[in-house]
Amino acid sequence: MGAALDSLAAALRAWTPVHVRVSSGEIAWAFVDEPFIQPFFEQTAQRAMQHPFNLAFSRRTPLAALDALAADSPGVAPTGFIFHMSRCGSTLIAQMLAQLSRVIVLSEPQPLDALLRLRRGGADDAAVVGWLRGMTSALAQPRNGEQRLFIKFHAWHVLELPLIRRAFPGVPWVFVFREPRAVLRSHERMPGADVTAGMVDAPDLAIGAGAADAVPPEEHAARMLAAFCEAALAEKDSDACAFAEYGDLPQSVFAKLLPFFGVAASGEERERMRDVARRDAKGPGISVPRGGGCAWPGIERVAARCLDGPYAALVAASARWR
Amino acid sequence: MSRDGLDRFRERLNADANLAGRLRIVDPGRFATVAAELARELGCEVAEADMRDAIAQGRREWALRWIL
Repeated sequence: MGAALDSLAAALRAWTPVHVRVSSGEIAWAFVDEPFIQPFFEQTAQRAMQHPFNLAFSRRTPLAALDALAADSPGVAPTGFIFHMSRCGSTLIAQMLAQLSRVIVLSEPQPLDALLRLRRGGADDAAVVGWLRGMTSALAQPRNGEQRLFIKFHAWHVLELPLIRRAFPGVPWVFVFREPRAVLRSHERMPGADVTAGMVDAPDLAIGAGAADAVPPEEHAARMLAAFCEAALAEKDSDACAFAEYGDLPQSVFAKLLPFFGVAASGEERERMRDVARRDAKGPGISVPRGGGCAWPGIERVAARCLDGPYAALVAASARWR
Repeated sequence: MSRDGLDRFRERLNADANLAGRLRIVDPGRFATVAAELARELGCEVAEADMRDAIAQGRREWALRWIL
């Protein structure tokens, strides 16, 4: 490594990537003084960026800086990954895992999302694999003796599961799912970006940006959800994978997930996890509003056509794991 | 406004995490004043107004990060 990169890596150790521009790959770095314990990465990044120091002196680097930092100061290695079909309890799992001691939990971090969007935009797979490793290392710099790292991905990221597994071979991952009509009804009340037309470039699903508006929103959502489920099912025979159903939470976190991830939680940690499970995982202002909706009249039809099959397969896969 | 002074101050902070650490704990309401004083101690010509402009520019960039 050259002297300039040595110097850059040393200087970046104390900084955390908080945003990556998909248009240019430029990384914005900030000082993040609090652990990532909010339900979503973006909330912690937003809080850090309220301080005038970060507003005035946030650093900007190209993606190449990640290699230097990872070589100089590798972060905590991933303990486990959480994939999900959305609106199915994955945030609750992440919040429960965040109650463990000496743990970093990154919940839907935008920098990883940006890298996977760069891949969708045509970036070379090998380059993206390197960036994923470098970015994860940068995000997981231990600030207080952390030894474990969990990443909860965005729902659509499961479409890139083979690439993520290539970047992190052997890291155990779980796919969280839920009865599809309940998921669709939740999106009907408050549509999520992962299933909204135009938010995820998915030409392989034949509903790319151009065609997405041609189908009703519930049809688009059902096709995206089916694609998420099928992407997880395509990898179900790999080692170190598990399937967790919404209805089994939060008990399955204690009974299945912790052993699956090789984590022995103390009594105190378990009590904190139980406590957080009693609360609303996403917190006020982010939770999906309750009450019925009627904006998506075709839910039953699209669920039966697109999602009942994958859901049955997921139930079977989770039964094998039970 | 001295852009050169602010740039040199930024370089000093980027090269020295301890120096940056002194500013990170400053009360946000006093940040522009304290940062400008520190810059001048380091021989960088930075006025309070420069700091306020830099903060405002950073706030705009952060707010527009999804579209810039």
